[in-house]
Amino acid sequence: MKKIILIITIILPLAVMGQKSAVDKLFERYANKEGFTTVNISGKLLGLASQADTANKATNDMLSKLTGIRILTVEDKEIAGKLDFFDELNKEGFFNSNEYEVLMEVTEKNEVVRFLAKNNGKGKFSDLILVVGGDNNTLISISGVIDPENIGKISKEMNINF
Amino acid sequence: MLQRYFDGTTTEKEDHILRSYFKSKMVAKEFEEYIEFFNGICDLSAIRHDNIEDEIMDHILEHETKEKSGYRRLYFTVAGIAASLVIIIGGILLRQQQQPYKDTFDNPEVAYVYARKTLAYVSEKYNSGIAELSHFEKLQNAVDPLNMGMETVNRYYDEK
Repeated sequence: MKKIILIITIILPLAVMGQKSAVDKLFERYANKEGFTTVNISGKLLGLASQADTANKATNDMLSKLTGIRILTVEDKEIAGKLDFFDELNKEGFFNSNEYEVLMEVTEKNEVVRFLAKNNGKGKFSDLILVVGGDNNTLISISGVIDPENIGKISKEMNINF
Repeated sequence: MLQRYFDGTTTEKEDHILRSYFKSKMVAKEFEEYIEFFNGICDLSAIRHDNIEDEIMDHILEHETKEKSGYRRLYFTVAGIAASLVIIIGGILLRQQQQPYKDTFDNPEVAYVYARKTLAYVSEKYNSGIAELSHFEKLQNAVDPLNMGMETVNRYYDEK
């Protein structure tokens, strides 16, 4: 009995370590490296910020339910040409886990945006990842409760307010 | 008889005879060397006390508990090391997990602006993706008159 408890306590942290997702690995690898810009905004700060501005309902609604936003951008044009976050994620085995489903791929001039989402089982997403390839190499990871209906509303709100 | 005694095949009675023989001072010369031996045995059996067994038991028990407590101490040491290792590993992992969420901004307002900008970008792309889907809606609408035509034909067949 004691042995079992001991084994579990040893394996548990290892299991947690194994769960580190491919996206986390990418953020860790390129954070604070030259030519890259990383932006982290915690859910706490987002919650605070959303209370300050009440004009944009859909935006605030969404922000208050988020647990964090992370953005990784390649600033250096030379690196941007060589690096493709989509390929990097693929190498990390991101697409083998079946956790995320590809929502859509928006192809525009010099830019490919891939929407990847993790379903929380209630018609909403628990994680949304945007992989932007092309001229602006960017990886955006949004976690928290994300209502797909709200995503569409936000840009309409922005158009009114700006 | 002496030979048998040393072989250990004598009876108790014979032992007694032997002992009293050596105690008496009429021992034959060839057996003189054994006098002391037998007297010694007599002395030993005389001072043989009952608590020798207890003493032996005490000795054994003492030894056993010593050994046990030694094992227990070892177990506690190993368990202690294992527990502290688990705590240290857990702490490191917790720190690692918290690190990616170190805030870039201190000011919530700046963070808010940035977050909004990000969401606006996401939203814009999302909408343009959805817009592509609306073509399918148009296609659906275009097929509607055909469906309606088919409906009357189907109804005709159903009635027949």
